[in-house]
Amino acid sequence: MKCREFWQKACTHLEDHELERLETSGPLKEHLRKCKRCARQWDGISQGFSQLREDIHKDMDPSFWQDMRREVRSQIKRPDEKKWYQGLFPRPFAWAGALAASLVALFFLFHGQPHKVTRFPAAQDIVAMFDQSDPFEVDLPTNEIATASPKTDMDDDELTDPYLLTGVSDSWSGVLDEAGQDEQGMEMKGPASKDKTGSVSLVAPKRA
Amino acid sequence: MTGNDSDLINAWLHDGDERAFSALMTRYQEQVFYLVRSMVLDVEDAKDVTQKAFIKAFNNLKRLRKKDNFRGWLLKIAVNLARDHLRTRRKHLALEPWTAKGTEVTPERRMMDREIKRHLKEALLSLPPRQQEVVGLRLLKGLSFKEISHLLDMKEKTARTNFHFGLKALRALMAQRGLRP
Ligand SMILES: [Zn+2]
Repeated sequence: MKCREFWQKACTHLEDHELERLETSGPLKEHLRKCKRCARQWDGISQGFSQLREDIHKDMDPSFWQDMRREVRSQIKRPDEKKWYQGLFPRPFAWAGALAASLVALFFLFHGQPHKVTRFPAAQDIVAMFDQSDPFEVDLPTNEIATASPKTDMDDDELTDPYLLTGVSDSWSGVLDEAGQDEQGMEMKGPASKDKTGSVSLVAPKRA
Repeated sequence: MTGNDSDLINAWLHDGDERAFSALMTRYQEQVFYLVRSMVLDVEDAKDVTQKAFIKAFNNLKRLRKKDNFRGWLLKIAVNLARDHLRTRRKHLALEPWTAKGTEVTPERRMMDREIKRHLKEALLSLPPRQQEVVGLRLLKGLSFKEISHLLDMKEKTARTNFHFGLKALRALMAQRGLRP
């Protein structure tokens, strides 16, 4: 086996196996025994990755995570305060409650002081009333997000020159928008703390 | 505090429940951190990117339609921030190319463990971002190419090609650094 062939095969091997598993592969191992140059390069890469992996997945002190939570909490906004009337009704019926309250208010507006009402308001007057700021305005959920922006992906043609493979063009709005469409996308197996070095599957995490 | 993501998110969004916030962070901060770290390598950088990812996610939580998808959404935000970070970092590195830092390495000299690790780290960081991302997620985080392609929004084939080119470039960089016989 020539050196070039060795690296091609080693690379393909690494696509599907862990670094350490190269040892089990006969012809590749044989080449490493014969070729000092490849053996040294391979050692450098495999040792380097093993050490780096160990380094990267070192457990952090509990205070590290606490600090992180504190820092994040200090920089995020508290969710919006509820409007006073939202607390009066159970959430799914808040809109109905607000509507009912509006109708009651309208009733008293027109019938509560019968002696002062000289005429029934014209339709345009009623519309005008609603146009003004209404204390019973229903705050509808605004969870709906815009449609996804097109994904950017690298054309396969670009792959001819490895040093051209640099662009990262996903915009933030794109990420935030497309996230809603990502349900069947990547779902890694939890819990994370036990899964730092291990493989990750496409199984949705199950929780009690 | 327990419950599924959706319950916790609702408790945070509607009641401002601090325990729900804390539970969500505790549930995912390690996943995000170690994922990011396999991309950016440096611990402080990874911490910074992780925090930014959570801040971005919590501040945009209302925009997430399906709350059960919080995890995938959060990880994508983190990966994109890590990519942004690498891109910025790369601009600085360009001023001082990795290969220019010559060290006298004699054939007899064996690199110490620490040196190997440092050289590999520097070599990785000097790879084009897409190559670095794929190589890091594959060999440091152990993700499959399918998972990598989801995270990085690229075809699986593209991820594999980046991996091949990345390893090739890495080998060349390591050789320049004194791993020649
Ligand atoms: Zn060889």
